[in-house]
Amino acid sequence: MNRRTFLKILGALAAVAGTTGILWEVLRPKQEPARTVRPNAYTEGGKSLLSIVKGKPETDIETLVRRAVDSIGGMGKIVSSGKTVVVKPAILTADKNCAPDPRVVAAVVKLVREAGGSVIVAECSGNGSSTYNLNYVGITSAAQEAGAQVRDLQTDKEVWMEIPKGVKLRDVKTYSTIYKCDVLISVPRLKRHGSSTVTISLKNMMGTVPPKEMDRFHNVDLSQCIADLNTVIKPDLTVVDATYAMTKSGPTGGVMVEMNTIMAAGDPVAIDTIAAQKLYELEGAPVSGVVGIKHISAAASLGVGTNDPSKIKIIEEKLS
Amino acid sequence: MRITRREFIKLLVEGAAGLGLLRFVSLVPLKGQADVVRPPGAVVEEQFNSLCVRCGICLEVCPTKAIVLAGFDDGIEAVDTPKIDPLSGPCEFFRGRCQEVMRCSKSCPTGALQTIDRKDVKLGSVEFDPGKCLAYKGKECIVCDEMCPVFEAITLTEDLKPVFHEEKCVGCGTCVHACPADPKALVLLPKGAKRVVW
Amino acid sequence: MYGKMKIDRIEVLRILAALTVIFIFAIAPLFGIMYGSTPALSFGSLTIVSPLEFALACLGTKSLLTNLMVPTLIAILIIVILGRFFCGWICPVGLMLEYTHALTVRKRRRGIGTLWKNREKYVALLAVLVASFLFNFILPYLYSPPGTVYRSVIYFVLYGVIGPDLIVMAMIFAMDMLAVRFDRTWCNSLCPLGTAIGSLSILNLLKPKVDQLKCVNFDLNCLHCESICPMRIPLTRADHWTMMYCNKCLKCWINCPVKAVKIKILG
Repeated sequence: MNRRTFLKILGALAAVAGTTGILWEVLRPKQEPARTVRPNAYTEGGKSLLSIVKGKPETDIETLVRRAVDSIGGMGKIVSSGKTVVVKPAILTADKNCAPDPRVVAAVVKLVREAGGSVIVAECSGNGSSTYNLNYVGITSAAQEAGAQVRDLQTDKEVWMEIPKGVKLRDVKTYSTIYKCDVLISVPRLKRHGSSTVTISLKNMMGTVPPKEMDRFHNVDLSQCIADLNTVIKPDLTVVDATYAMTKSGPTGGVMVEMNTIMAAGDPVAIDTIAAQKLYELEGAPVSGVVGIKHISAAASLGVGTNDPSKIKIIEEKLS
Repeated sequence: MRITRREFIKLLVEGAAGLGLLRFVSLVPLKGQADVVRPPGAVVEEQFNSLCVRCGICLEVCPTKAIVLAGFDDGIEAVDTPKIDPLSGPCEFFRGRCQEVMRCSKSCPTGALQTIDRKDVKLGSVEFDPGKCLAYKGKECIVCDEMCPVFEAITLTEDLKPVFHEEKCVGCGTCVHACPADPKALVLLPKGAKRVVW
Repeated sequence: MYGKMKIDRIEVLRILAALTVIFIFAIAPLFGIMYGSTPALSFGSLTIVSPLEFALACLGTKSLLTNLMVPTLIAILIIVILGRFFCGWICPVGLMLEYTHALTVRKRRRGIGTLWKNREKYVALLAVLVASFLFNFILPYLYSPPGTVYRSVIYFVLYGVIGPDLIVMAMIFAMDMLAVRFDRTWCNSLCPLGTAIGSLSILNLLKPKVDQLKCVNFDLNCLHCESICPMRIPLTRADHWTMMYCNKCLKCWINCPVKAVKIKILG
């Protein structure tokens, strides 16, 4: 081999190394900073506002939702013209009792649109195809009729994000739609759940991460991970569908009990606490058990919200 | 087309040798008659092996990618026949994309997979290894119970550990697919599978 | 070899045709237009079943599968019209075998003898049928290599997995390359699917025929067409039955030095 050939080979190797280095740097997934989370907009005198509106079986659901949201201050407090709003219903699987009533979702979409925002109803189901599930429970058609775009998050681009305040979870992968939205609204159903005892707004946020991340949470420490997740993916408003509540067991296969109630709050920890109390009351279980629900107290410790009833102002209303 | 006697005998011997070879190969199965979980509506194994022409249509129509091709380790007679692999995807015949129509059975051209009623389908049942289960290690996990579409095929003990009831299990593989443990605590076996007698 | 064989335009067309068909097989399921592989195709409500697979299924279950008769008849109709056109223009394995023979040293024999010697293929077909009847044993990769190729491609496109078929493909190529006779030994002497198709190609369109007025074989002992034919058909003295195994590669037509070979549409 002469010098010429040697230099040529060296040059070629350098080119390959250089290109690989550049490609690696460009293509590797980069961790994004945490999503900006705004403080609770629905407060009064330092207390979190929470509304509970109960109607009759024949009461129009849209009226219930409207009263609930207006009682705490209205949609206008978080949504203004031109904002992108993601409405996250709690679907999980193809089960009409597990998911919220499509009319509740449609009412929320309508309120957002009245306030001037554009709506995307997004979901990443833990079981099966999100597209199929959304369609099966009736939310796709109801949301589209109300003027929202329906998106299956599993087709969306993934974003890797850090969790600065996380105790067990220091980073998480979520989806671009969630990361980039201006406002996040959580629409769960009031349900029992085996391991975390209840599944309402805080657990609903698990449907914004890919299935592999859901697996990771279970491997690490489910309750703490839910709390850590909510420090970066926190709903600005929660509307709990308690028209029918799932009791005894969940999130599927429980006993549905008619409650005709809609609850709304800006603080997800507060609404989880009070809604869990309502559920326990309905079942005849001691309300003191709510304190033991791990993910709610973990979230409260991290400052996501408050689980202290003295710091929650409840506005109850019964519609005739 | 003339043929000499010599040639005829040569062909006869070749034929016998060929048949012998085929017989020998089928006597050397790596696992005897295939013992795999078949898609819903599958006929009994001897008939399945004849009826299945290995066209791959069921694999192509499956929306969850639950159907995969059997390899050589499932027995040489079963190579390229369809089987259910829950690690690739769960079978959603009981709840999900195939709950109205079981697409594989509907599209099978020869009848190796028959269209039967959903309630007559049992693909197999799961086998549980508590040593690998997160709940038995003290973690909060009841994903299998959460995802199981069959009422009370999986129940929980007082301290939230899963218990599996083989007689209610339909073998859909949803729990296996969803189990977050690595390695998984569940495996889908053809035990108790109901096959159609054709 | 008698002179250097030119890569002609017909061969390029054949390769393109085979690649297009593979592409169609791989892409069609994604759009829901067509599902399946050579054993059975499904176009929504219409299914077509290959006659060899039909025979094997009937023999294996020892009953006449009446629900499959119409799909099989459709396939037979196509075969009757086109003949072994599939082998020459579509089958990816056959085309690959034509080129892999160059990797092993070959001695081509001129003037292939007075008898049509490739009778092993009938034995192979019969053995496969009898094995299905007696032992309920089917080896789809051995009797249908093109089906194996399409299935592998589809499996890879849909699942990203390389299936068990690759081992079998390797076996077929090894067998053909080691068999030191002629290229496409698999196709002429063994392929049960090809034999079945050939036996059914009654109409046999686009048959080559030697124009005896132009042929110089008698004077110059040429037989170039016979030495080039991948199916080893003795073109100058072939009868109707032997011609049924022609795969329409058109090599005899292109390479005859005096252009004595004509392609007849019918008869």
